[in-house]
Amino acid sequence: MKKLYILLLLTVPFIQACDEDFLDRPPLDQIGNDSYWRSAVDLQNYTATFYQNLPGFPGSAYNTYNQATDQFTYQNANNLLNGTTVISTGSWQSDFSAVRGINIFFDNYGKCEDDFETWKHYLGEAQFFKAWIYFNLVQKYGDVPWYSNSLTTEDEDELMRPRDPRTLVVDSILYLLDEATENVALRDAAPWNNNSINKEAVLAFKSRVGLYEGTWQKYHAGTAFGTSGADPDKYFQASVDAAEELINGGEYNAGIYTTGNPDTDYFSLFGMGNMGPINEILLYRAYSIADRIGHNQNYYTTTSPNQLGATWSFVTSHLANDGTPFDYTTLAQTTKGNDFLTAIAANCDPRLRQNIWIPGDVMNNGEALVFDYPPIDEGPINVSPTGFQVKKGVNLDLTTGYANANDAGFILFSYSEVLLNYAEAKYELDGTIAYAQLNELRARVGMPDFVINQQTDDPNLVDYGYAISDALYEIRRERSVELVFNRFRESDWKRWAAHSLFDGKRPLGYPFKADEFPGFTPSLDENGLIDILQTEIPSGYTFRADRDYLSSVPETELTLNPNLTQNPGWTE
Amino acid sequence: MKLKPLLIALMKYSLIVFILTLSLSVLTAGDLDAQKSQSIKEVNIELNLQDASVKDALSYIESKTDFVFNYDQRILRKLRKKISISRSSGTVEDALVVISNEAKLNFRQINKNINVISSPDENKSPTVIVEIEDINVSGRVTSSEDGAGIPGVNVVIKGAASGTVTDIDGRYSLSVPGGQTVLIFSSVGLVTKEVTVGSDEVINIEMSPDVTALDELVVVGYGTQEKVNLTGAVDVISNKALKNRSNSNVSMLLEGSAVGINFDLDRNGYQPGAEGDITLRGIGSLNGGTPFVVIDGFAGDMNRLNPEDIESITILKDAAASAIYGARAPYGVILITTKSGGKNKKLSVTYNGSMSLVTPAKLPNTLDSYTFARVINEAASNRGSSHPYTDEHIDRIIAYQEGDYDYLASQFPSNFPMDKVVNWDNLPADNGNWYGGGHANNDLWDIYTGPNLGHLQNFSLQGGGEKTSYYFSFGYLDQASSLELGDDYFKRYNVMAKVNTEITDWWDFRYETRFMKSNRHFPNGSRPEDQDTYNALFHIIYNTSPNTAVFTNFGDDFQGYNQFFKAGFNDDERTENWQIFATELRPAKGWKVNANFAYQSIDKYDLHDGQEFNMNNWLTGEPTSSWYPSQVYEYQNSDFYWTTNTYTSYELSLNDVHNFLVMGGMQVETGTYRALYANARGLIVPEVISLSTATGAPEVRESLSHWATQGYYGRFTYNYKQKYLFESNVRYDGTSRFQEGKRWGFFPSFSAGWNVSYEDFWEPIAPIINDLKIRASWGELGNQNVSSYQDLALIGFSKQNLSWLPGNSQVGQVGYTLTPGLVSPVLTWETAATTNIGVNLAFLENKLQVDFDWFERNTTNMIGPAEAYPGVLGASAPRSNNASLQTRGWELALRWQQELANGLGYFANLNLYDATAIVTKYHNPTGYLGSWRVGQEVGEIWGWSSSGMFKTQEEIDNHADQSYIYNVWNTGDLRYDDINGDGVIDKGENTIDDHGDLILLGNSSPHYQFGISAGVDFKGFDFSMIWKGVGKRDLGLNASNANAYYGFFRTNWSQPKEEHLDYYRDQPGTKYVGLYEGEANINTDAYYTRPYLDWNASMKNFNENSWFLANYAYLRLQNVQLGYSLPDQLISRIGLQKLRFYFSGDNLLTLHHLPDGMDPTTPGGGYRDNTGKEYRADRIYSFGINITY
Repeated sequence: MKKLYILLLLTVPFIQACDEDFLDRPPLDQIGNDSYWRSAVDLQNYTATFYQNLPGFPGSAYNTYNQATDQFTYQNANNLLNGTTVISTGSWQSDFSAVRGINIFFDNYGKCEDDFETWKHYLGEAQFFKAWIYFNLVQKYGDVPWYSNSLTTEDEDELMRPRDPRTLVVDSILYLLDEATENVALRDAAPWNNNSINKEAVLAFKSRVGLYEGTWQKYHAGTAFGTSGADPDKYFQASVDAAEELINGGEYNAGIYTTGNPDTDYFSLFGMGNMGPINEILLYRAYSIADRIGHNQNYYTTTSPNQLGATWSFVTSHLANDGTPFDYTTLAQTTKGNDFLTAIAANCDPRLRQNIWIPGDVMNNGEALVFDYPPIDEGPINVSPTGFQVKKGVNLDLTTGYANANDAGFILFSYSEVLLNYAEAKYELDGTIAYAQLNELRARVGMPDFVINQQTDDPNLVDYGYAISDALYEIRRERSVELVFNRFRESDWKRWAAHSLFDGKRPLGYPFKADEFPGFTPSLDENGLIDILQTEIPSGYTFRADRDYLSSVPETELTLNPNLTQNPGWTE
Repeated sequence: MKLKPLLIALMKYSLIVFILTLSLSVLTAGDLDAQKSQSIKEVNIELNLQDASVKDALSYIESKTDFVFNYDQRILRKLRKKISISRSSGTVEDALVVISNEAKLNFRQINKNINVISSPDENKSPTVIVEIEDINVSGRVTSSEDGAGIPGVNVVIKGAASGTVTDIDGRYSLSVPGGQTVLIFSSVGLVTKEVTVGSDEVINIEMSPDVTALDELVVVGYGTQEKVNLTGAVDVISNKALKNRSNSNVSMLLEGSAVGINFDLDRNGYQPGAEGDITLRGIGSLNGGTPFVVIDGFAGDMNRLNPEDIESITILKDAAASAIYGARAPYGVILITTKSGGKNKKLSVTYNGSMSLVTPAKLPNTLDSYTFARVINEAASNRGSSHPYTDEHIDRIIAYQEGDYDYLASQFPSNFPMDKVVNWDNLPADNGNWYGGGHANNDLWDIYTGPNLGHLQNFSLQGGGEKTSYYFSFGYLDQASSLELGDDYFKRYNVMAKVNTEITDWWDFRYETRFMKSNRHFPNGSRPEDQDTYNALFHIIYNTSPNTAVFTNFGDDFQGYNQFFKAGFNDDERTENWQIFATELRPAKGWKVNANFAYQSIDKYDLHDGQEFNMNNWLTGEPTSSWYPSQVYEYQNSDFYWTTNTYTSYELSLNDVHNFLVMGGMQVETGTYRALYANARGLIVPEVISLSTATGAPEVRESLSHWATQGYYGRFTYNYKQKYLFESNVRYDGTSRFQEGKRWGFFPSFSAGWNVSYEDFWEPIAPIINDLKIRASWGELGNQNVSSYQDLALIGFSKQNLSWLPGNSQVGQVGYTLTPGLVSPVLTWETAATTNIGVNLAFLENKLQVDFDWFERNTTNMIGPAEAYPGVLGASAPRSNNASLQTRGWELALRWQQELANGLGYFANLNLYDATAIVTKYHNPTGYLGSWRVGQEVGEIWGWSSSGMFKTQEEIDNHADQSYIYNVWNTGDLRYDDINGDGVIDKGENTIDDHGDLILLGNSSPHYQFGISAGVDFKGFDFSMIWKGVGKRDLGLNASNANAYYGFFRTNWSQPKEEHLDYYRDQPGTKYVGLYEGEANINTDAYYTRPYLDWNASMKNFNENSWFLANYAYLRLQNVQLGYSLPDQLISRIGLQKLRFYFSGDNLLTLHHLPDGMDPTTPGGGYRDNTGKEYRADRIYSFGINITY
């Protein structure tokens, strides 16, 4: 019997092992997708991930302004402007990983067991982010496949689908933004105020999307980039609706930042660390030295412009400080170098001298750094080749060193943009000129009220490649000046189909004064303006207008999915 | 030097051993019982046998009388003759005469023993001889393993039939006729020895186990088998091969000891405590595949064991042998059995201690600083660059070497405090900074390497009584380094205890505990944040130019060099604890039930400290810079594991004809893992390295995981008279690493063997070829050793690194979760199917043994690169089971062993092994050479073909266009062959179908690996040696991954040594440029191409090409040992059983084709995988002592 008992005892492990759950070992420091999504906190934590998709100042490389525009230039010709980009051999995976990520939210948020009121803001955030992600894709590729759900390798049909028309995609974006408007909290009620997606920011986004799509459909009509079923007014209306909601609605916290100092208010807005209390800033990315998240914007705007310079065409788009066109060319015949800079600072739109350095400017309070001459003759790190060195975004109280010690916020949505979106969309829609809104911007910097000048009176006429009304000409001028260096210009000339702004032209600098730089002989044009790309692109930029308004679909994607078509101009 | 404390420690240990020995000898001294024997003629027995086997008949006689029969099992097994003796009563002799005639056996009684000898000559009638002698010779037979007495050894007089057996203490006494008598000592499982009696009346004999014995028991998974019955490819290594060597870890000791082992080291090379990465029979999987290590029945880490505690190591190489371990063991099993006490075995106390002098391997031949500067200048000129060493700098170097310190002083800044100058190695800069250009003449290898002393101490107790046996041991190892950079050592403590007890005659119980604690202490190169910085120290030593000053002119440590070695150390501690309970029940004859339980906990704790390192400006006295801040890093990991193993077996033999064994059981395992990491900066008290003294905010991370497996296994073996053998193993394994539905796998194996030499027809051949066995096996195993949860969509957490802040006025970052990755719904086991065919042969009375195995392993369902999906999928496609690999190879082992009549014993073993792995399936549709591809042999090296260098400009002009490689070509550069004749040297599409001018240069896998071991012992002296080599191995090295091979590279990495000086020179030298002055410098018939101090210009010649293909074949003397055991008569007076002194040398000689200072056994080592910059195998000289009481 004893043997029997002992034998029975030895069977214990067998019994234990028969426990069916024995091999179920869920992870301990991660959670299975099936177990997640139960609470509002789960949804909050998941949407938080997507804040990282929003742009900000680069941590190390200098590409804050790395855009293809006519407003500023580097020492080399821009590939996009010059038609020298090459077909993409990469993959769409990086473009679509965010789509997948946000779709996982939409696949799962219905599992949330908490009260809808506790998480509807996060649903709204997800809607905003999906709109954001797709808006970037539409700007880059035009037509893109719209996915409502995340895909797996099994979803053969979905994976092999052709692209959806941009109208469908943009309508979906606008729909999501309308939904998001319903769901997200007002700026002052949002978890992190204007560091959170909020209702004001969503409306601003909608005004941006509507304006973008409306002008794209309107100005590309009849070209390879024309939209079938185009209805620009529908989108202008959407933009106007969203802007008017914000402009008129009493529950919103939005306005133009001013302290009554027209000489500095515009300038200091962009170098500010804590933008929380600024009602103009609807959404921004914050930085904090204490949290070891900082950037080097001061370094790039002061001692080390890294070859960046504003262009003659940008500078000359400013009116005189009396609101009339200003004859820069004639001035440049006689007044050169520092004198020229000093003269335009005194006589032109005050935003000009708040955007570029003028000799005598204190560049840093702590380091007693003074701007004496533009660094046109420096090495690649310190050179600003045009003579117009960009100033916007500097904070005079922070270090100029390369130490990630700058905490100026990165503005994602501002009320000033909304006003400019509104002015343009409203005029495109029905010819109404939004004087009140434009004057708010003029008033901050001490410019006279908005008036419509005759294009023919402008000695530095801006060439959009097609005729536009004097009113639209002035509205676009206001946008160009107000929003410079804030990453709008590339999408603006693209939606305006305005490659004539730079095509066949070279970016020029200021009138060079030789005795200010003994021994330094930059290339100059016939007017004595610095002409840095004279040898590189002797006949100016050669933009591929039949191709480069949209990026190429990566070649491998076309191989993997025969239902995809290439964008215009790329198929040859 | 650590000599003094070591000697004190050694003396202490010796004293303890001595006292213990004395006291024990007092306690256990016993006397011998002399036995008188009766003749078989005098003893009567009643017999009634019907068709009994000979074995049964002899057993019967044994049970009824005091006689003991000694026979070779094999002889009786082969006898099919049945004995019938009708009811009779007579003497034993009468009975034996009957059996003798029936079975053709000779019987020879020697005292109580009756030896059974088969009669090879059919015609000669068998004999029954009785010999009881009168003249006494006595002595003791002891084990060469541990010096303990061996009971039951036959001692017979050659040519006569008389003899005796040893008693429990190994003692014997015997009457012999006279001086020239030869005594034969034999016992099952021991190597037979013959000794001439001579004039000595006391003859003590040391006997060693006969590892070649056919009836040796071999430990296999969940049981043991007689070697004769094995059908799988199994290798046994006795602890003899591991003894008295100064290497710390079992993995290191296996190198060269077993056939079929691939051995690799990580990038740190042979650092103290280094652990070898072992693979069996070549590459198993492209994802890596290492053998499964089982220690005393449980999965473990062999490197945590004290080699002294090991009884034997069994290596199961084919699927038939390892299938019982299922999804754990697709790439072989290493079974380690630790020592045990023995029942009725007298207490034996063993002490082994040794002291080792660790000296560096052959060092690179550093150039003197003047030669170095000129050579570097010449390389710079070749590129058109200015001279790195200006004329003034070289003048200072010359002055320094000539001792012209007045000249040097004249170069110093005028305000320099000359009264504080203690050396002239450096020229301080005017601005107060130290570095103004050194002009010293240093060989950093000389400064930073040198001999150090290590030691090891082992102490063990073993023995047993009627019911209980025990083994206790303690081991301490202090392994030194040949780097002289502060403390750099590996220390390990091992404690082990094992107790076996018989509760009843059918119930055994075993308790075993093993404890290990180790500490690796080493300089971290001022980079405590990295886990792996040791190799960087060698890089710094290698890449520091000889003119560099190591000390400031004040004699302080120089920033940039010394602080790497002095500002911070790592302490990596490991503690491992095993608790094992095992029990065996034998409810009925042949039936066994085993239940085992084991618990293991591993604690890893790494403390890395970084000390602040400052230099003071000599002008202002202020610190010039803070090279590194003080900081502390702590890593704490815990690993807990428990398992139960329950199995039962039933063995049945039907008349010794049909022999069956069935075994079945199950195993359950679970493990959990916890890790905490923390670091902080700014230590208030730099000497106290603790988070609590750090002012900076600590960063903390955590990692948690757990897993479980279940397995059911079974074995069925059958043999027919041990002639025809069959075995099948199955295992059904489940793991938590896969999702339900895919977590279970079934793994079968089958094997068969044929003992041809047991057949009747073999008898005529038997005297020449004693043994022949043919084996074949097939089996399939899985690989569950993949990361957990690869098939589960997981959402990760993070509270850090969301670069989005909730307002910059608030401190703290936002917590967030991560997007789950795509998972493969079809991911499953990787499977390895192995076929093995083997032959075992024995010749010349088993003196020569030959084993040969051929194998093929097909690894399928290997997890390869993902297939391409449209990018709209939005995630990397999950990896899937889409690749296959085929490995084929063979192993040959030759063993020769002989004991001569004069007492000289010697052995020589050779093993040779080769394997080739071919990719049979992989997702690479274009056949791109930069990735695996179908049909590729693992290790293929593709590169350019070159037969030499350009000698004239004309030659360059007329040659194919080499601008694909580089745009400037010069005389002294390599001329690459235009293989496809298109006038352009390029890679084509770099695919297998269009590889341009690339050719297959060779193979980087080691081929024809061999091991040779040999030894002699005679009159107390023993000598043995182990050689290991690789017959063929190539490596395609380039200047960036092997600048130790080429010498020249870009500026700071150009460190030509003497062996690199045969380079192309076509300009006369001067005082400042060139190896030699004037025309003597010209050397256009060089081996090395024209050197350049530039990355790209160097790489144009120093790349994977046939001219510079590196030959990694080598031959190394792994270990050589010379020992002397004091005569028994001498030591028995002080109560000892054995006293042996030995000298042992490791890695004393390596023959290879590489520049000095490169180790051919560590091709993958080095700083950033820059081979040649790793810890090379030290030459270790050890002196030791073995004492057994």
